Amino acid sequence: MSHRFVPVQWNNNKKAYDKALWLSIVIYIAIFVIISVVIHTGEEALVPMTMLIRAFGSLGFILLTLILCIGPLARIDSRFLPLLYNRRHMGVSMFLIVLVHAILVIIWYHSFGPLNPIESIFTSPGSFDNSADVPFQPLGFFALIILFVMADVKESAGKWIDIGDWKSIGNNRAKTIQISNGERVAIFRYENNKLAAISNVCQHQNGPLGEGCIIDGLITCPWHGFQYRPEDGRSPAPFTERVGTYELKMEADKVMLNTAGLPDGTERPVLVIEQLINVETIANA
Amino acid sequence: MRKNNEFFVGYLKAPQSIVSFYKIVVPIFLLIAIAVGVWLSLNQQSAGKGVAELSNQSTMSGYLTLDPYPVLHHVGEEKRSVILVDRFKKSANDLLQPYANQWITVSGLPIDRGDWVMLQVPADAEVQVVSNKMGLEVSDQYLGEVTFEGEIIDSKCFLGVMKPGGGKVHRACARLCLLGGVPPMLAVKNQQGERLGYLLMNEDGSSASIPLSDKVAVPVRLSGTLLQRGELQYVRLNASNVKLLTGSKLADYGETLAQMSDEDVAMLNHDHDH
Repeated sequence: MSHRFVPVQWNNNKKAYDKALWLSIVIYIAIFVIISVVIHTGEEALVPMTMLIRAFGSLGFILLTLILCIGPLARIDSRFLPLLYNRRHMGVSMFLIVLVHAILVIIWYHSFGPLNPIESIFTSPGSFDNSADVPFQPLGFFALIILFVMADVKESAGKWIDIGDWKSIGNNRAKTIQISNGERVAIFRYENNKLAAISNVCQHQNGPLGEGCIIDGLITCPWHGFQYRPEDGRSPAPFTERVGTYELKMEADKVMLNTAGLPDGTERPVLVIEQLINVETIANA
Repeated sequence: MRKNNEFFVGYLKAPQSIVSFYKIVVPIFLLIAIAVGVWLSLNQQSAGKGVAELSNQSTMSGYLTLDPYPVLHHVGEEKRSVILVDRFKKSANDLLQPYANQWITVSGLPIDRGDWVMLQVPADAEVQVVSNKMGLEVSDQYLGEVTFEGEIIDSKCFLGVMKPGGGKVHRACARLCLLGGVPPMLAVKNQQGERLGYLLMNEDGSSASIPLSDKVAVPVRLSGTLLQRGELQYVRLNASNVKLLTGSKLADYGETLAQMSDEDVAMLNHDHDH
């Protein structure tokens, strides 16, 4: 949890994460280069530039694959959530690795000729009609831009509606529903018998608050531990983050949610359900 | 989804079950990264046997022809033909223009691949005319009409500068080299696995570097007239008739060059016999 304008918050878990990540990166590059030197000797030796281009390029692919796997893995097994916790560092690292690859390629293949390097990239011969002839380097250039945007951008986020099965929400846990405008709402249960609905999107990096839990009375994001009060969606002082809140009401045996969300940090009554006092009757998730 | 009741928060001490889990997961990831690195690096294609001796200055004497590419003939005791190029992706034509059809001595950095020799001559190289040797010392010998399948490459990178100097990854560089006037070559692998190279020129004998610059680095089929000049073989061709190969040959990139068919080899042998 941080003040809004503090750009990086280091803690031991982040340091361990980054150490493991960069150790793996160094080991991979070293192994690739060492084996390339050992295997290709004499007249068939590779030039260092070729080795580095291949090592950094293949590593970029591997890291991108791993990054894209983390989300689904965390959905399948919550123990993978800590990998997601610092995924952005992995994304930035991957972009830097791909950038090194791109710079080496531009120097090695596109420079020192009669065309300027950027012109060379975009005037590559070939045709999209023929799979063997596709000019892939302009595509690589656009891929680099996309990876930059991915590394730079934070991860992505009425009427009265029935929220469905509310009895199965575990104490200090939440259920997430999607409302008609595509937004996700997290409905938390706490102090056994209280329900509070807030936007599912954490203000820090759009983490899924509904997959978090209540710690010390505060909704805690599963990604980076940013916290919000269930009563008004505000981070406790001195922090200033706020998320949108939603109204809940009881109708017969159904819990209803007003899909017209309230502005970020708006206090509204939480729903107290007397039936939920007997905690033993509720299944823990 | 498997739920874990111990909740991980970055700024708090990690729960024991999470720590235990990652003591297994992190080494597994590391092993996978190492295994993939080993597998990928072991499976790299050969970069070919070319060597660019870019720190080993060499001086050569021979008879210089410029049409269509600068070549020094009758070099050394073996009477070799040495292709001359400038630094980077550039022809040595401008530098050597004043010395066409003369015996000269020039220094540069040798690039070797098998029987092929190239000399990289810097733009400020000193060229000395050997005045006691005169006359046209090189003639053409026609060897017949041929059809080859292979890959058009720029001779400088292929003979040892880029390692590998062929294949689609190298395409942009090969194109710049040809646009810069470096002699284009067709690399072909015969059925014995030997790699053969033929310099390419237009039907009128002029440089085909620029016309072929958009046909480099992909498998092609071409037809033309094979001729011998000094120790080098050239194919005279019409660049617009160079055909991109389709089907299974499309995947046959890089050092695994397209092979000549039996018919092509038979025809070539037949032409040689006559």
